[in-house]
Amino acid sequence: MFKIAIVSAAGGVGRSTLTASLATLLAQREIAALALDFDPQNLLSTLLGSDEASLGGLLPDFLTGKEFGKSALVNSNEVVCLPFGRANEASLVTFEQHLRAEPEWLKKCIAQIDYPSGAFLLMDTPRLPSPFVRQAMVAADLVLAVLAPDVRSLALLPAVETTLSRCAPESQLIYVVNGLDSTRAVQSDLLARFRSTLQMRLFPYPVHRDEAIPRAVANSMNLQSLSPDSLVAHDLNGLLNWLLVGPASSLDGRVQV
Amino acid sequence: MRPIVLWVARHLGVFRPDQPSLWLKRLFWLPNADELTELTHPQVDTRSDPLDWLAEKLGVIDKRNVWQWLLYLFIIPPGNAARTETSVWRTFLTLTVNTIGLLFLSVEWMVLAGVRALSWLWQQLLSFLPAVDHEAVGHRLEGWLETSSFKKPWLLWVLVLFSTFFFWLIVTTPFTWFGQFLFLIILWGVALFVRRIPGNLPALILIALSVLASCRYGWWRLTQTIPLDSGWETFLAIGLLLAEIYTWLVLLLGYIQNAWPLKRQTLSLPLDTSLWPSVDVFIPTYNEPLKVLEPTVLAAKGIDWPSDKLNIYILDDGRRDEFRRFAKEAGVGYIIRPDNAHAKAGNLNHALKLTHGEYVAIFDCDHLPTNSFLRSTMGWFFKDKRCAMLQTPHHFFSPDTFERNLGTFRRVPNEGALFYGLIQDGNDFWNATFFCGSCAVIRRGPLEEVGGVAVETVTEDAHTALKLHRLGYTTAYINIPLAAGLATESLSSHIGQRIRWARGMAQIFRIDNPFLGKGLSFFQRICYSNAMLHFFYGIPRLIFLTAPLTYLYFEVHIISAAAAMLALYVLPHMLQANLANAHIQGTHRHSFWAEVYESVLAWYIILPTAVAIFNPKAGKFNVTAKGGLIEHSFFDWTISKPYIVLAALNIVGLTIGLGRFFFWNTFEMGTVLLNLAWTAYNLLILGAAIGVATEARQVRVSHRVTSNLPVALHFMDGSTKMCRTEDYSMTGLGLLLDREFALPVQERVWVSLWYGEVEFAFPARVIASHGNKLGVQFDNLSIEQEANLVQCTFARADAWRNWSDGQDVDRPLQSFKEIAIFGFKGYRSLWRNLSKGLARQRQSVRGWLGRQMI
Ligand SMILES: Nc1ncnc2c1ncn2[C@@H]1O[C@H](COP(=O)(O)OP(=O)(O)OP(=O)(O)O)[C@@H](O)[C@H]1O
Ligand SMILES: [Mg+2]
Repeated sequence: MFKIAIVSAAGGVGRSTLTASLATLLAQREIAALALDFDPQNLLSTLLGSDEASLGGLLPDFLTGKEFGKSALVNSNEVVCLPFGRANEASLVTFEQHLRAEPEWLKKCIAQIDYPSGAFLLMDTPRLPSPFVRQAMVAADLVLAVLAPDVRSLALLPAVETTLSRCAPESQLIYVVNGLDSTRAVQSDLLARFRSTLQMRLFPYPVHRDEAIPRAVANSMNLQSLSPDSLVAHDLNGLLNWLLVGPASSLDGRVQV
Repeated sequence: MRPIVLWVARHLGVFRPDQPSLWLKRLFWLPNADELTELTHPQVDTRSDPLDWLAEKLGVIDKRNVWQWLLYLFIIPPGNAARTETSVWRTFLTLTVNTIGLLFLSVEWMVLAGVRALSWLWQQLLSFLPAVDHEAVGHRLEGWLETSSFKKPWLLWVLVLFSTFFFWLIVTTPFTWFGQFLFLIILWGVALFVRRIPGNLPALILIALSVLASCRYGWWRLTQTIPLDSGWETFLAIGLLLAEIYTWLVLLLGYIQNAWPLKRQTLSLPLDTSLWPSVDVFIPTYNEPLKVLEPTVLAAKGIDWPSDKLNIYILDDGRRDEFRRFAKEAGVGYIIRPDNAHAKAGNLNHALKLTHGEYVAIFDCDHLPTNSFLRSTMGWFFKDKRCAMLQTPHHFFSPDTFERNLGTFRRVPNEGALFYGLIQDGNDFWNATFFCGSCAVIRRGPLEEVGGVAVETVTEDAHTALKLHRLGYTTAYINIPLAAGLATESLSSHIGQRIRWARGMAQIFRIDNPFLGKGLSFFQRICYSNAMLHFFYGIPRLIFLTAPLTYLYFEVHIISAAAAMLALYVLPHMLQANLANAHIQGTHRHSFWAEVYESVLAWYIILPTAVAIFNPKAGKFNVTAKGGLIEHSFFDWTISKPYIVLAALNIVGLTIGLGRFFFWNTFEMGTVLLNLAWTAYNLLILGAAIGVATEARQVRVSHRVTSNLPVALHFMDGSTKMCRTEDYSMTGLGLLLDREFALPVQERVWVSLWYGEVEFAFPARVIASHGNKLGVQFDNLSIEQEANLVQCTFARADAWRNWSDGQDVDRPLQSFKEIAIFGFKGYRSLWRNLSKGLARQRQSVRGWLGRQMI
């Protein structure tokens, strides 16, 4: 199983969107994909098409001592989603304490899941700093750090790397820009800044801002069938292709869903 | 007779003597019982006139009509004829007819089998060919020749002696007509086989065969066919002979020049960019509009080279403020001078004095360099320290006059393709690459050593290269299009440009003849001489276009030989030359096109070349106009006058010739036929030339380049669409979408194009939307955006890489057919324009008359 943690230092840059879209595209190519919501916002299942935020999930399971992954859902696109589940203040505090005490908790839990070896695991996370992100980073083979083409992301650029070098120095780190509006000169300039600072660590093709994304979510349809020739579909497919031939190419025998 | 046949029939068991298959069957098999019972009544009857019967059988109604007999005998199948009662005669006749048929069938079968066996052998031979690695064989051969055992001078001399002896033997031995016929067939057969072998070695064999055939023809022509008895005839005969000698010489020199095209590849540069030299880019301009210059400057700015080592200068001989402002805005240098002495050459020399780069790259103002221009070329200067100049091809992304008016763009190699595709590569092998004025890099040192760009002639470029070669410098050619521009727009400007070249070359030939003077190797002299001699084709071409007329009009025999013999000698010469040239130049010049290209220019270059030879200083420099447009298609009467006169002369000749063939000269039909064929050929070529004078409408100011690039469309509502370009230009894009998509005209959109990984978005408006096609026009691009646009389109490193991939292959017959069609079309267009012109004239006369009445 190839495990990807999708992280960012700034909020609202499109982590959840990327997680959901990539998972859907993978499933569409008949590659088993598990989207794991490791963000207390508990929104991923909504993005993947469930009508309301799921009550059950990995936090309630943890609190009630159930086996990890028992409350996973499957949507019509064959994407498996493990929601975070509803949380309250008190349960979150307990959970976070537990995570602090046991940095490899998530990693161990994931190791227990019986999942095909060619499958993908995509972990959505809250923004840094957070114990959830550190858990995901420890568990991941690849950390995908999402940047928005704005000054916030530029200012917070070192944060991901600092965290990663502290908790999981071996993991591979790749930055990807999401939400680029190439008609705006400011954004293109920022992209150029990212390029020159990050060089090879930046995935060369940014994911564009595109109305197709909110439209797909609003209609709970998948992007590929709603607007297959949109720029963002093109970008995401490109990102996925790169993952498949690059970092994830070492996977033995990609298993069908 | 009849009883015998019946008797034989009965004994053989042929119960139906009129069935030949039965006869055949019975000869080999015995009849069975029930067939034998029928035998007692053989159905045979009598008839008196066999002719009657045959006529009836064939369906001939009027027996005395020869045509009907011919018609029914040979054309309409006999199955249509009505069957009547049988007769002995009929039996007999059918028998013989059928036996003949059988015989014929078997012969046909045998011939076919033979052909099949031969073609099988041929296939076997051919299938053996690709198994050999011809490139490797070529290299090994080159290696061998370099080894010391081959370098012995005596060996060389022995070889030369031997081949000269045999050559002499073959060229001078007289053959009977049959011998000459065999010579033709054998040479042709060998050539047909050899040309299937890939690689360069067969080219040499084909050249050798062609030289043999041509020399043999030449020898025969010289020794046997000159009418020496009458003054007038001799004069004309010698004229034709001289023209033939000229073509023969150019053919031979061309073979030497193109024997082994070098095909240089790019060389990589040192990794350390601090070692890279500084380069000045000169963009001379005189009267071209800013619109033409702008993209060139922007493309030059994008050339991939350390920015502190790349300086771009606009050399404005027009001294225009608009240009100065643009230069400032674009951040490039701007150089002017007080006078316009020596035109472009003077302009460049003036700039040389004011700049200091180690190298100078020169681009005409309408040649956009691709961004890899310097990276792909400069490597050779590192390798070869004596290299003074490197030339790259002049590539045109708009159709030239021929291509536009005949509709052959990107299908048939254009006029320049031969020079840049083959001749320069051939020159390069002999270290004789010419400088062509643009798209080249020159080392400043040597250039200053020869006193800058040559100013003595109007082709300063070739002359400069000649001077560099005389000093022992080398030059190089890379046949990869690394810059592209607009071709000349109209026939008149095309001719103007060629006149200048022809004049300049003639001038060099006169004042700095490559065969004289110091410093050149023998082969460099040959390459230069051929390039110059080439421009003297005017008079010879006119002679060929009119030679058969001397016979058709005046019955003057300018070749004193029997027509059949002439054909037998001239055919191997032409066939072999055609085959050799098709092999060497096939991808760069289709068969017979040289005739069209030359015929168009022939008349116009006679005077300039002649004047230049007698007085190299006379005449004046003319600049070719570019970027213009032809608003209405029209027929260029002025330019086409000489071809129309020639065509008229040939048409009259053809008519007289037909008279000679049928009535007046029936005793020498061969001669008439030969001259008729020659005239018909000339007429076709002239027709094509007239076709070129029909200027097709050309509406776009900025030419569109067909291309398939990814594009993203950004709509105002934030949605997007990926699509691909159909074509691009400096002003807009033609887009091809995956499916139908309607957009209102004038809708604002953004289109983004990619330059490598970097995306550039440009504001645009929809100007047309049809099905899945969309036309957008850029909306007030800033200069920076224009620069980006150029980088994404015209200046891409691979923009012109596979340009001629879609080109047709050269098939001589196909090519001939095409030219014949163009010839017909030319006359049709001439006819139409003629009647249109006449109608207009009549109308104006009527109008004038009308006015007089009032
Ligand atoms: N490429 C895109 N084009 C258009 N809209 C986008 C794109 N990516 C994300 N969005 C929109 O941006 C908003 C934020 O996205 P998302 O919730 O995925 O971000 P996030 O990083 O997960 O945010 P948070 O920090 O709240 O978790 C959403 O409304 C989403 O639809
Ligand atoms: Mg989120």
